[in-house]
Amino acid sequence: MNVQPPITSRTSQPSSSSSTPSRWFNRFNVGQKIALGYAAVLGIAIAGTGIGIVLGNSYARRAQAIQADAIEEILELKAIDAALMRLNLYEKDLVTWLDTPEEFQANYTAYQESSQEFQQQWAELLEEYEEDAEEGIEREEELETVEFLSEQYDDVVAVYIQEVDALLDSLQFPILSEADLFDAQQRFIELNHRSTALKVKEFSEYLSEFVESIEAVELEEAQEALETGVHLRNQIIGISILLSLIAASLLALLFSHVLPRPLKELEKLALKVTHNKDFSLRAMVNSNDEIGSLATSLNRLIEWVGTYTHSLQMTQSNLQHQTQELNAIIDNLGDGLLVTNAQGQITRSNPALRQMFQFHNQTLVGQPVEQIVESNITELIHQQHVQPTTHLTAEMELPTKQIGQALVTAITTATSPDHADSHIAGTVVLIRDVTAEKEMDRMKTDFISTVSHELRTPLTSVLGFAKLIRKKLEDTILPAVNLETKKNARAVRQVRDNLQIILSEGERLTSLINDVLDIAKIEAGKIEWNMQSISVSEVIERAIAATSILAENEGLTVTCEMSPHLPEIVGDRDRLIQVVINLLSNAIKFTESGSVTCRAQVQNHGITISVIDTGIGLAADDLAKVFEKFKQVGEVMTNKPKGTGLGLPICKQIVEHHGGRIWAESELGQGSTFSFTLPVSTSPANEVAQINLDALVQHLQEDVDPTSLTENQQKTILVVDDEPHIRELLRQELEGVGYQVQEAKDGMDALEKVKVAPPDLIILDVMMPNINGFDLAAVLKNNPATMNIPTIILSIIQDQERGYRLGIDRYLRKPIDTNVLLGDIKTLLAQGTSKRKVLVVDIDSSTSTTLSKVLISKGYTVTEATTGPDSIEQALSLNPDMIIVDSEISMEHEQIKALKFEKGSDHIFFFMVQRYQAERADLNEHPQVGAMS
Amino acid sequence: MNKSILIVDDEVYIRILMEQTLEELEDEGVELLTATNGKEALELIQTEKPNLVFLDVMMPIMNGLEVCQALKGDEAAPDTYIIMLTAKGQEFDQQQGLEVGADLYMTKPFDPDEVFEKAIEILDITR
Repeated sequence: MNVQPPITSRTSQPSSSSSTPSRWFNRFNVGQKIALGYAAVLGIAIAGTGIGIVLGNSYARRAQAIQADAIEEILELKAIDAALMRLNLYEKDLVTWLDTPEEFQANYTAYQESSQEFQQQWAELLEEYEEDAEEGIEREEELETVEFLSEQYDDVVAVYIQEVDALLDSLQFPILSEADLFDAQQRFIELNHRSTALKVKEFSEYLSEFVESIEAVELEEAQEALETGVHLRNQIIGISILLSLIAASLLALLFSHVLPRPLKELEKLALKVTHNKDFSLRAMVNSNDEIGSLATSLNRLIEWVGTYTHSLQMTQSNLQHQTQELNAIIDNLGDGLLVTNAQGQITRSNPALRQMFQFHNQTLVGQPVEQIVESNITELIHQQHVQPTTHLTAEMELPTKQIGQALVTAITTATSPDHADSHIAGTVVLIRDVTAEKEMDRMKTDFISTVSHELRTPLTSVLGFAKLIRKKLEDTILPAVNLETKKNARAVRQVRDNLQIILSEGERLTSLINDVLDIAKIEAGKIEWNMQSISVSEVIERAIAATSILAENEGLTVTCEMSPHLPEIVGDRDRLIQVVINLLSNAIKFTESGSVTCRAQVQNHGITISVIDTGIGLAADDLAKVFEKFKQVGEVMTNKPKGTGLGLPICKQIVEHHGGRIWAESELGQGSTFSFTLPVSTSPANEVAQINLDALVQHLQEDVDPTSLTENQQKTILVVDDEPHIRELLRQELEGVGYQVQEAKDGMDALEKVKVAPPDLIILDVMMPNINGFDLAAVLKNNPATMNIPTIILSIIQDQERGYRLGIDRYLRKPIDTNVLLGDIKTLLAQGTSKRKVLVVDIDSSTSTTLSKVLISKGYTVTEATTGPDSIEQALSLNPDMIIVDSEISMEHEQIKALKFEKGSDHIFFFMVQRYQAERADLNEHPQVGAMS
Repeated sequence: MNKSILIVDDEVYIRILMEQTLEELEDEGVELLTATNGKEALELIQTEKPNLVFLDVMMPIMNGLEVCQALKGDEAAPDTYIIMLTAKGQEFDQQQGLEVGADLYMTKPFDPDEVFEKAIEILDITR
């Protein structure tokens, strides 16, 4: 793919873009351009038609003018002809009227008029023709004819008139005689037969001919002209229409070519961009119309697409790069990696994992995880699905005989930050080969053991012999020494003192070794914490008791200021006592006179315990240093403090393990205050905390069926442990107190033994091959035939919660505390069956909730009931083994009262809890009151 | 039959210390035996059947835990009270020791008086 950054701009330029008309044309938008085209076409059509009409009309007018002219001429000529004829006629009539002078006179006048008329008209005609000839508008032929007529006959008429006039003059009027008359008549006839008269006649005939010819030629001419005009007009209109059609066609062609051209360019560009993925191309924007804005938009679009494509490709290539990197990391990871989907199918594994599980050259993808790896990973994955927010770890032996540590993490698609509705998409299992670490750990432990041993051995000799020397000195030698002499007395004193120094320094060295070991173990996480619900006041009281001798020796008193109602905390009692003892002994050590106070109070959801002294105090700079290892403060030379310098660092480690904080406040010479906080688990109801839950649980555990107490011997106990010597140890212990003991070497063996002869009690180890203790407990507690067998887990693994969840009755830790174990066995056997179902009835739901929590954590199945009768009845139908009920409710509810005396429920054990004052004393009392068994 | 105590430690001074600590018991007719490693100890236990063994844990050739284990696996072994002497704070060792059959643990450095008292108690000697 050819991708260039969109910055370099190659432009495809339309060729006609630079010409001026085009530029002018491009100023308009498409609508305007089309309107312009229409206007041009219409304009040409209108103009053509108009011109045609105007021209045609002008021709028509000219033709009409010619016609009118011709008609006028004809009329003139006809008038002349008529006048001539009238002249001739009147002249001829004169003969007739010779005898009547009046008539003659009248005719003669008419004759004269017509002669004048003729002469006048003729003269006018000639004049006109002359003008026409001058103007050159008359036809040649006509002019010739008129000229000829004028030449031939101009004088004839005049002669004729003279002749007539002469004749008339010669006549004597009135003619009275016939003869005269006749003569006159004869003379007229003669006149009329003379050439002149004939010529007049001829003239008249010529004129008539002329008129006829004019009529024929000129009218035809006019008609022709008119026809020509109309023809011309039609031609022009036709031509103009044709022209406008051509223009329209041309425009159409132009528009069809010019308008879509930029569109075509755009289309071409778009195709090019799409096809070549070349986002550097740009459309040339050279018009302000829609196409121009389309082109601009297209350019912007191309730029965006280019930018996005570019960034997408960058991201893609980054992603690809990262994926490659990740793949490389995963493939080269020293830890084995296994990813499964939500269905438990493997979606990914790395070479390290395949190496660990001996699957060489197999991808494993798509296979169910159960078929690939050991069952405990599968179990972890299932557990992880139940608790997606936690990370589970487990150790296992790999097929390569190495030790793997698996870390299982759920892949969640969290839709909210608090994982409230997260969805599990799969699981990541990371398996680390911890063989070397384990080896290191073992070596470290060995080293610590060795150092401890190596240091202690000479120390044992030193201290032991010193003590023996002292003893022998005191018992045997010194009494024999003569103390009378001053020298002897001094020697004895010095020997005693020096021996004491050896002893105390030896002891200091011992505690130093102990502290070093302690801190090394805390730091290595090698300490087992016995976390339980404890009372702070007990811790303080015991610490004060332990340091009382020290304080007495220094002449100090330790006062104790404790707020009443200190809540219980969860912690390791002995370690916390160690902290308080350390702080108290420090305070005593550094206080010569004054007092040491130990104060405990509730502060900010926690308990703050402070040890306040009036001793030498600390400089501000040293306040933080005191908690650092081997940092003893003070003037080392003059005021060498006793101690190891590790006490406070150990305290710090212990307090921090409890989730607390330790600090010092002091001023030099003003005494100092060392304080630490311990968090209090936020329990919803304070009065519940006042109930001594330990005592309550103890009572529940000791809930013994008196009828079975007599036959607690010869009970069979099944001991399940893969270590033969542990089984042996337990066998000896248990047989020692009269139980029968069966042994099972693993889970399978145990199940067999239970099937053949169900024991009265089972003691289980957790870490066992094949079926581990938890799984075995789950199997036993889910089988109706075995679920009631009391079960004790005895393990170095601390997972009480899991054990109790499975329904076991006790969870004890190794090393075995024989007394506790025997006590619990006795209690459980006395109960006969696992009594796990507890019904808690209380008005205050928060109280019962807290109580339930505690009981559930101790392994009981708890049903809560409110005070409603239905609720109680329902809860009772579950057939609880024990009922814990508020004494007030018990008094109020007949149902519960009745239940106590009901048959069939006599196995139910009642506890009365008095609200607000449920102290140990009450608990001791109430079970006796309430127990109906 | 005379009562006997076996002291097992590879460190000569510790053996001497123990002997001196317990030497007063010789006046009561108690025989003090010593061994420098587990193997010797085991042989002595089998042959001399001491009433009480102070057994060090960390020893060459055969350590204290192995001695216990061997005794535990041996049906014919005499019923001997075993006090393990080991470094303090090694709960794991303690647990192992108790699991393999030691009866008591004492941590080094021990107080000679305590050792003496314990021996008297176990041997049930009245003075």
